[in-house]
Amino acid sequence: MPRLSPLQRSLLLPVLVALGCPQGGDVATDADPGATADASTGATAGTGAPTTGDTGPGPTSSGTDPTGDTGDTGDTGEPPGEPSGNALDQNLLFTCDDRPALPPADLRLLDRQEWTRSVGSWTGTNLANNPLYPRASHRYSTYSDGEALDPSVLSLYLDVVGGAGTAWAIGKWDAGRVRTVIEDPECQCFLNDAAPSPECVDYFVRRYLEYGAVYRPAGDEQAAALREFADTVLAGEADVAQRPATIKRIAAAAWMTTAALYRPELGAGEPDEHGRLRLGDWELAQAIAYALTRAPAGTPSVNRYYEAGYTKGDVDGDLGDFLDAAADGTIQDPEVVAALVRAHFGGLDEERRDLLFEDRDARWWENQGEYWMATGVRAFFREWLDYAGLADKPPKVETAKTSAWWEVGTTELSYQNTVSGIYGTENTLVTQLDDMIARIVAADQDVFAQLLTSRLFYTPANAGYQEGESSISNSTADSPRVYGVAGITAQTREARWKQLPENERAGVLTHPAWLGAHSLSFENDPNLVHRGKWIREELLCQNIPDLPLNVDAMLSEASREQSARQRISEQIDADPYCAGCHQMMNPLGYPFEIYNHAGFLRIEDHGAAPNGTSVLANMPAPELDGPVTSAIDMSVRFAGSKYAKRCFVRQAFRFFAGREETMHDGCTLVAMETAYDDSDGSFAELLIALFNSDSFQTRVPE
Amino acid sequence: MFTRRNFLTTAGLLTGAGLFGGAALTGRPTRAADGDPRRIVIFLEGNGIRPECVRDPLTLETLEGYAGKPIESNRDYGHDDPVLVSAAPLAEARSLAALAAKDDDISLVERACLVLGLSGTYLGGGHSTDFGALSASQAAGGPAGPTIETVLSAIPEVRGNTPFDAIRIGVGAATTPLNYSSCAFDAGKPAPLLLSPAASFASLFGSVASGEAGEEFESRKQLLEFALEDVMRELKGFGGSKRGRDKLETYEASLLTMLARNDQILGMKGALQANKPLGPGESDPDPYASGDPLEQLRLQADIATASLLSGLTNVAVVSFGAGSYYWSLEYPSLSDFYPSKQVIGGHDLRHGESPAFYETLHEVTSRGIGEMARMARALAARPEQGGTMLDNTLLLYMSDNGEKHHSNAEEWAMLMLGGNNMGFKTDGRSVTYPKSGHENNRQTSNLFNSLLHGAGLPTDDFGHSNPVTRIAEGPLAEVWS
Repeated sequence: MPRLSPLQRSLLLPVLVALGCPQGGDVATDADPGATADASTGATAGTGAPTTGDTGPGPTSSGTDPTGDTGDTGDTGEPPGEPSGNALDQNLLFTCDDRPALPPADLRLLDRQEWTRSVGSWTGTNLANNPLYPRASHRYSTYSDGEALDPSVLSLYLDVVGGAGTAWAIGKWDAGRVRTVIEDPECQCFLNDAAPSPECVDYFVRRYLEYGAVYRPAGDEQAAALREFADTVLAGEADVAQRPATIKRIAAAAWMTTAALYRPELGAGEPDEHGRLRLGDWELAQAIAYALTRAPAGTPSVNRYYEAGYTKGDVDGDLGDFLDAAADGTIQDPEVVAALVRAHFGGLDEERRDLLFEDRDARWWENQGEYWMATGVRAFFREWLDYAGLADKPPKVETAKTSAWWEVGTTELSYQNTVSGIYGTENTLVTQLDDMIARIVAADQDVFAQLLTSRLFYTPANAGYQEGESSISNSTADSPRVYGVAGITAQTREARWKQLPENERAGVLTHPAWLGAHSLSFENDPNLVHRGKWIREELLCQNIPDLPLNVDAMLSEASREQSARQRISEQIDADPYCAGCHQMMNPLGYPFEIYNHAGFLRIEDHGAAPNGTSVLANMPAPELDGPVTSAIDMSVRFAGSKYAKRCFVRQAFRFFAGREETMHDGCTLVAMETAYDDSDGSFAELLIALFNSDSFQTRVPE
Repeated sequence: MFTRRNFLTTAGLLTGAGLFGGAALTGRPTRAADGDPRRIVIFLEGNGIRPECVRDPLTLETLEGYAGKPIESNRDYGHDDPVLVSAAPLAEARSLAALAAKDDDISLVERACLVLGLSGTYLGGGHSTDFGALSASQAAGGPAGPTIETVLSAIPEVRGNTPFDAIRIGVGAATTPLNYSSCAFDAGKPAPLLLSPAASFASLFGSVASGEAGEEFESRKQLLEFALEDVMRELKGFGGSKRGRDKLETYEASLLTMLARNDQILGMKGALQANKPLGPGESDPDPYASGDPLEQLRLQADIATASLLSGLTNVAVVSFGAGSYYWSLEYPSLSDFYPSKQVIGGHDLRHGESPAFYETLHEVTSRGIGEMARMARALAARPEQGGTMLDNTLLLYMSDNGEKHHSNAEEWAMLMLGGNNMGFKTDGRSVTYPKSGHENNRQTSNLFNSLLHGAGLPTDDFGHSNPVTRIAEGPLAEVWS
């Protein structure tokens, strides 16, 4: 990659060494390490050196700088993020010493999914199209720092808040009704009476606050304020026919209050010896409920359409056991927390009632697997593995090239349809990976290793979608091919579950959804760099610095006909300057070259046999070093690695605690790991340990 | 951060000021006559503007004369002082054809100023400098200060009596319609850009979208007042969490802003109805349903123009794939330009290293500039105090990372239109500064200083949270005086 002259590189080299990118080759190193140099001009001021976080990724088994950072093509387009927990030394982090957990007291702004569920709606509605997006700069959507309802967001919110009370205002027999109001006898007077009594109005207002907006006992002052608002609106009514509009106005007002928009995690009672307050009963119950389900305890049980029946729950909504535990204070009992988690984190359900909150309808839902996982658990895996956005990635071109299915039948269009899901009622690759993970979570044994080694994939059916059977056969007939599955797959769950050959797939990192989500448009694009970067950052919890200034991370146009392995090895690995950083990613990416960009298994690679060999070096733990033959071999190695497992524990901590870990969370991380190990790898036990920890249950006032 | 300065006492500190050929640095008043409106619009193209596509033949010939060799990039520049080419045939540049007179369109060549050679290496480069481009400070980890439109919008002479201090809208491929990576209210406080034309329309013209919408607007006031009372009550008894208090205070401030704005908008019904652009669902086919980013850009430009015409705001940012939002952008209407007519994602397009790929990118820039030109002509057609609205409005087209996909941030090509009443030398010239690394090179921050001077807040040191990265203070004498 001839972008910089030797002189320019020598000027940048000290900077990269300081960042922690190990340097190989014979590049001169005699420049002043204190200087910040512009590689292109030699100027010493006004230039931007490569940027990175404050500290590096932690130790490496090869003895490179333990405080250093790693290298990067930077070619991911990711916006700059907040300081990363990856900067911490993982070995030190998993030490329980006398440092107490010190999470800050805070208010958490509901995100768009939480708001949608709270108002009794579901994915795909206008209400779901609310503007309460999580910050893109956050590693996980559950993080809360910096959230704000600035005027721009508030302006958009005003466009949807008027619909917040829709579910409470519709008729008893209409689609979208919620049991919270139609099955509550004491609400009926407000729905039907031309002049409801003061007691009736009182009841309805408080009922809406507690079971439609704030999902905890409402304060008297809060209830009185909404009551006064309700009286004003009622006074303006011409007749009872306007009552639905009145209810929507009242609901909108309730959803403008801070108590509805923000979930408190402030703590209550007397501070402990570290100055921490313990979360109150309702704070704790709702914190766990939101973490697990992305919805509050009490979220309405809704009848989306008549035939579908109601979503889980009763007249007081779903997660009634959380409500009970909050009301009587038993939520503070670790055994109660454990029981709640075990009951709600996932399992087997032939009816898949959880899907009633999802997009589309029963025609698609019945084609999904029979295992479910709580919405929060699913969100964790989607965000950690970062595969949910597959359909939003740049489109793949020549998707089956180099595979056995290249230019075979309708493979090309069938692949595109498994990404977009436009034609037919089979589900997308993303949902198929959800199903695979849900089965592993439901079994709840050795979850981390199973994620990386399971060969039981949920694949699409193509029976009934063949030529002569369906008018959309061009986009559906060969949908299983991306998994390497030949022939016809029947439209049954049993048939869709396939045990794939051990020399073809092993675990989520060999799933077409993951492979496609971490690649570009062409099969010989530098997809391996993107995949290797993800492994380094998210499976090993190590930092990769931003793209260094002056590095033009392009592969030459002249190499367009070469394999990705040849392009990368000749243009990047062979260049000592580039290799200094890329050695932290590329060896982790080469094993995936047995697959193409779309996730098809290659049978050839530009005239040669597919080659997934690599030598892992500079790994953070000795058990990870050494040669591997393919992504399958590498996945097996990761599955047996304590280091990689600990990173998985950290990722779970981050998502479910809603923040980056600090060195003060060491005891919690040790407890999570111990619970996981002692239970033969139960993800539920890992979560129980987190939810019962000081890292989750205490807050430090500021 | 930024300061008003007494130029009599600080002129001597303006390193290199003498190089600008006698710039009048003392006692400079702002140029706009008292009472003349002052407006600034910034078009922000993501992921680089290739300078060769905006360089006109005469400017290129002149620069090559100084260099004694062909100009491939700014590194080939051979001049030691700014090179000014008056009466440059700007419309002959690959991506500036929209400036030419055509049919009923007036020529904008004589209302333009092409600026080349400004550097932004102090911001980093790569894919995007994110907040850095408009804040003139490196933005690792978030905005290090307010972006230029925020500062401009706080100038009383600019804000005038408009309900919106600034509008931030744009186009980008994203799963959310909010871009939080380009604009900022202040350090650590990103300001969102609305990436959905429908959302922009609803926010700005919802009050006059239909009869019912007007009533809805009125009822919103009740909601806002109720919420304000609630948050004030909450804040009164709130303790124990600074983070939480900050969030409540932001909400309170937003409510106050919205209330004030809504009152004002309700009083502007006539102007809004007179200038309202086409809204969602008001035509068949509905352009708001289009996924073509160029169509969306056209709608956003229309909305921004209508906002200026109706007096909703005097400051606007229109982004075009800024931040990381160029990544998946595809341009189906430019399929004839793509190599082999194969439409590919924005990132792959920008990785193509051949003239055929460049040609597609040049057309993308051409379309963006075309939208700015359309806005300029609409403003030029509207008389107001001091001439026309274009005389009182400076339009700036720039990128958010410099010269190309993986930029070195060494050259940020910019195009300015209008704003003559504020002192901008938009008279058909091009000015090219010495190359990055040269002692007489100037930076993007100097251009922003020029904007602030023209807008009524004389500022010589905008941006540069790391002051040692600044080459020279002050505005650019070649583009403003």
